Amino acid sequence: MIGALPAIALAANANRVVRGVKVQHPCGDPNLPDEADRALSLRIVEAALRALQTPVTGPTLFEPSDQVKEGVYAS
Amino acid sequence: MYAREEAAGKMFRIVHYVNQFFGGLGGEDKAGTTAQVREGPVGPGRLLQQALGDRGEVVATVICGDDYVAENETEAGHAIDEALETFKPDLVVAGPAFDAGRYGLGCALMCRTAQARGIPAVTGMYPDNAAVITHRRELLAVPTGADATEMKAAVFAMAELGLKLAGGEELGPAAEEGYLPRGVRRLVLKDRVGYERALDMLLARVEGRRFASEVQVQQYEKVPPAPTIDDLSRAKIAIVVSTGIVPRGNPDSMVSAFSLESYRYSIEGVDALEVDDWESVHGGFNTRILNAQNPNYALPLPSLRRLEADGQIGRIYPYFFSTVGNGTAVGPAREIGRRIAEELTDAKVDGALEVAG
Repeated sequence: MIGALPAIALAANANRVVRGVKVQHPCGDPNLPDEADRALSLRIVEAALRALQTPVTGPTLFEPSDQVKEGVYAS
Repeated sequence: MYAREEAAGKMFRIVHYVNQFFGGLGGEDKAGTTAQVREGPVGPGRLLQQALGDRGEVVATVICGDDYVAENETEAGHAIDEALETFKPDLVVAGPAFDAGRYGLGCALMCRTAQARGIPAVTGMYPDNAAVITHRRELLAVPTGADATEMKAAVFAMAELGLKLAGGEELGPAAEEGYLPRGVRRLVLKDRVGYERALDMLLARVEGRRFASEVQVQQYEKVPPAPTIDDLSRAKIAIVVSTGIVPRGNPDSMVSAFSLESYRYSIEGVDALEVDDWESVHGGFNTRILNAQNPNYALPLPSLRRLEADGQIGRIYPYFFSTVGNGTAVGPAREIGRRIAEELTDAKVDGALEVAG
């Protein structure tokens, strides 16, 4: 899950948690220029997909990476 | 239990904490308000003063915006610490926050900061408040209902508990004193041995009579993590949101809080949620950005479609599931999740992406 308040999700035992931006806009930032905003959204979603491919043993926090990754996924 | 002799007859100095709404500064639009300090009681602080009578004086009120305190814990903590240094209270009272999650976190920060300075602190909140989940052991909280209709009862209960603390009284068990169990255990002597009490409990259970368990086990269900998806490029991914995204006009009348169900909506052939066609009905935060600018912040469809087009994801499930994560109790939330999981399992979906609201 993507959430702006990951501490709550982790304490409630959500296993794969991605840090979102803010409660009012978890998957992006309206204060950024359009292109940077879209890139941020992509990084957040990519972190979520990375989480789906990462084995975890309990509640785990995933941070969106600093840069958009291209072609990282198994095919 | 007895109060300390030197505390008898003393008028305690109290600092009260409220959020921007109860502080009279505004609603969600003022949720970013940084820490403000006012002398004397503000808003429900006046009820608090009434409850205290001549046993205590609310010398100051700290007001923080709900967003500010939830997202800037360190900075807010410093501001609170400074206020406590200035006013040197004997007791801190925070809230009551009822079921408001961010407000609860603010109250928790106020209490924790006070306690770190050796100042006793009491708050009040609904047992399912997010702050209770995260700070159970550190908070002395009077249990309240979910909303502010019982403000007076809550404030009066907090005042009584707070005065006991300020007077140096040691508190008895949670059930007796009327606060939320913190998970702290102390050794006490009982009047009868354990096996006799256990047999009484067993007989009560067998006969269908009520009994109180001596040990309250409070846990959030641990769910075994799902195994990883081996091949994302062939995977079917579904979207689930608790950010309350619905078609504009809210055709299914999704509620803004205390949701008991979810609804599913088609995104077949939709590459991005247009602001004219969708909205959020979430009642727990300011949805202005979602509803006037861009609902995709609460459901990242354009990013997912791009990854689908690039072949990084196999397919996005043609429906998304929507509910509102505002005051949703654990039981209903579990049931909502179970029903969604049932459909996704039948549809052979490989993974789900949830956006929390």
